Amino acid sequence: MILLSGVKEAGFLYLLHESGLTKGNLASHLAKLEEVGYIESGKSAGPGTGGTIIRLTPSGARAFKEYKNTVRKLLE
Amino acid sequence: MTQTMGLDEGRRRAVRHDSEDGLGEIVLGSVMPRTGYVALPDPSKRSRAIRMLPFFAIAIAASAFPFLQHRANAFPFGLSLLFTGIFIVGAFQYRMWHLFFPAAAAPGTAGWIWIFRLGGEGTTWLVLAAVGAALLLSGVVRLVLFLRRYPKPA
Repeated sequence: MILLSGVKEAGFLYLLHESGLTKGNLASHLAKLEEVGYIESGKSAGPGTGGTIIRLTPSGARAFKEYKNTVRKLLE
Repeated sequence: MTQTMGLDEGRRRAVRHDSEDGLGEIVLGSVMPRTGYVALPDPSKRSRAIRMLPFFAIAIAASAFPFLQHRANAFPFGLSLLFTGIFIVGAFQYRMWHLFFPAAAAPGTAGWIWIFRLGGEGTTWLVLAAVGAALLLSGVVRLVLFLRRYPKPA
C-alpha cells in the first residue's frame, strides 16, 4: 500500500520490482487487499502497461492515511 | 528479498521511475517498460504553473538573441547560457541528472571561445557540437547503466 499511495495506478511488474516480493507472495497480498476493498485491479488497454493495473480505492487511501497517522503518533 | 521502505516512500520511488520507464525501450524498440508501468498522480494547478515558469524564463532569454547577433563573441556565450538553462531545468524536472553534462559543456565551450578570442560563425557551431557530443555521450552512459540495472524480464 505504501507503493500505491504515491501513484495514481501501477502495474504488477512495477510492484514486483519495488517490493522485492515473489510473484506468488505479491499476488496473495494484492488479493487480500482487494478482498477488503482497499485496492482495485483491472486490465488496461493502454500500450506498454503490461496487463494488470492496480490502484488504491478511496477507502484504501483513507485506511492507509489513518495507519500513517497512528504510526506517527506512536513514534512521537 | 523483500524491501523495507518508509511510509512516504511510495511517491519518491515512483518519481524515480518517471523518466526511466521506457527509456531503453524507446531506443531498443521493445514495448514493455522494464521497470513496470506506473502512473504518477495528476499534478495540481499550482504545480503546473510553477513548472511552466522556467520555460517562460527561457523563452524571454531567447527573445534577446536578435540583439546579440551583431556582437560576434557574445552570441555563442548567450547561446551556451540558453542551453545551460534548458538542460538544468530539464535535469530537475525530469530527474535526468546526466543533462548536467551538456549543461556544463555549453558554458565551458563558450568560455574557451571567449578566453582564446575565437570569432566567426564557426564558434556557434562549436558550442552546438560540444553540447551535442556531451548529450550523446552522457545519454549512452545512462542508457547502459539503466539496461544493467533493469535486465529484460524473462
